[in-house]
Amino acid sequence: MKPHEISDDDAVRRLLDEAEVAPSDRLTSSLLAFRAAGQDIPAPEPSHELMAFMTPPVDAPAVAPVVPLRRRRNVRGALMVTAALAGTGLGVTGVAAANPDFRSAADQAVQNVVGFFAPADGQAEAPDQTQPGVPAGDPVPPSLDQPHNSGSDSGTDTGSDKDTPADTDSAPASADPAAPGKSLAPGQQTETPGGGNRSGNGERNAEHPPAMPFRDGLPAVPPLDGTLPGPSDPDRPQDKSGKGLPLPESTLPSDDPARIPELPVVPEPQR
Amino acid sequence: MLHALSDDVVYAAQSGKAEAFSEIYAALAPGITGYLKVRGLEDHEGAVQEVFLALFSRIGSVRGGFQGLRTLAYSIAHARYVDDVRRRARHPQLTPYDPDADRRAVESAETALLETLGESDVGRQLKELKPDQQEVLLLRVVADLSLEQVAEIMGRSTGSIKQLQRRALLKLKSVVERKEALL
Repeated sequence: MKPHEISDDDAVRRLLDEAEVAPSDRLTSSLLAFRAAGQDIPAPEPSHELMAFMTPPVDAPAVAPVVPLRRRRNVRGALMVTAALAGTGLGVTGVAAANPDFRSAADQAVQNVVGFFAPADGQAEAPDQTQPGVPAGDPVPPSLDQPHNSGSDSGTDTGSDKDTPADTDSAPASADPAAPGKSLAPGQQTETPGGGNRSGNGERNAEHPPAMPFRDGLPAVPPLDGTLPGPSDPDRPQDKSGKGLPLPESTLPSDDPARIPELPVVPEPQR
Repeated sequence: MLHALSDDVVYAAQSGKAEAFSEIYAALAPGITGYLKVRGLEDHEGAVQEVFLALFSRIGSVRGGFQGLRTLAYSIAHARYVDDVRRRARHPQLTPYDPDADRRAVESAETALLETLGESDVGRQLKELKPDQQEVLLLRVVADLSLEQVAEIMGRSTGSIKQLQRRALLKLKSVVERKEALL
């Protein structure tokens, strides 16, 4: 018997002594039968999972390890694209170096492309220069687009309003004084609420910066009564206080909501 | 007779030696099988496989040498037995009608005498005890575990296990002596 093995009789006797139960032959034989019932049963065969624990692992594999193939498809495709781009670039460079007209032809092509998109910008600025009522063929006076930097009439500038659109000087209005109701001269504005801003048309032009594109190009709106006092109209009130002029009664909203406004008849075009 | 192993076998198993696993299985598998079979598990052999799979998977956490390993093995076996009892409680077993198993019929005198003579069977004697008493006797006698180990497995104190063991032995003694008196 190995020293660490325990006999069944000793185990049963120790158990009875520990429990302080008087031993008897029948009880002892029954306990020994218990013990044998749990020990004499053969162990089942271990399953495959248990055999994996009990089987020593194989150290070296009999077959060389499988190395997965590297995917070279992407690398090859990238190389082909790079070679194609390099060949195209070298060809274009060679042609440019061999033919001196190539540069001028390229510039012409660029200009054509730019000219294709350029009219869009020109059309966007066209309405600013063309005023209603002015024939398309009439040239726009150069003074409309020019900033009024001359100090000839700056002496009467009140300096009260800097937001007033730049009015035309008296030159275009006086050049065509016979058509006060037909059309407005470019840049000639009607009286609007806050008409005091209209005073000193020519005088305030000197203060307006020339970079304002819509100052001179805004279309004029004909007045309701068909008359428009020109810049040189002597009856036009002057805003000397700088706080603005009162609105004429014809432009103010009527107190009677049912009143039909008296609209002027469209003047016949002068022939 | 129980086959005890040295603690070196446990350490060898913890280091991954396959021979140590085989020795542990050969030493503990018969006791685990007998314990589960006496407890009445239907597939006690399959339960033994599960017990050793769990034991070998947790071999690295075993403390206390071979005795600690035995305690862990029977703890797992006890847990499997509890799981089986609960499973059978949830799913009642359906069996076909067997005229011989019909207890409503009155047995003959000869049959009763033969059964009385055959009461030396371990299972029949254990049925006279309470479930806790059966468990303590099995773990103490079959598994040869100490009081402390049994208390750890059953989740009780050592004193209560000692009381259960004493009552179980006294009950078993009375049953055996009563059967002997009947004979």
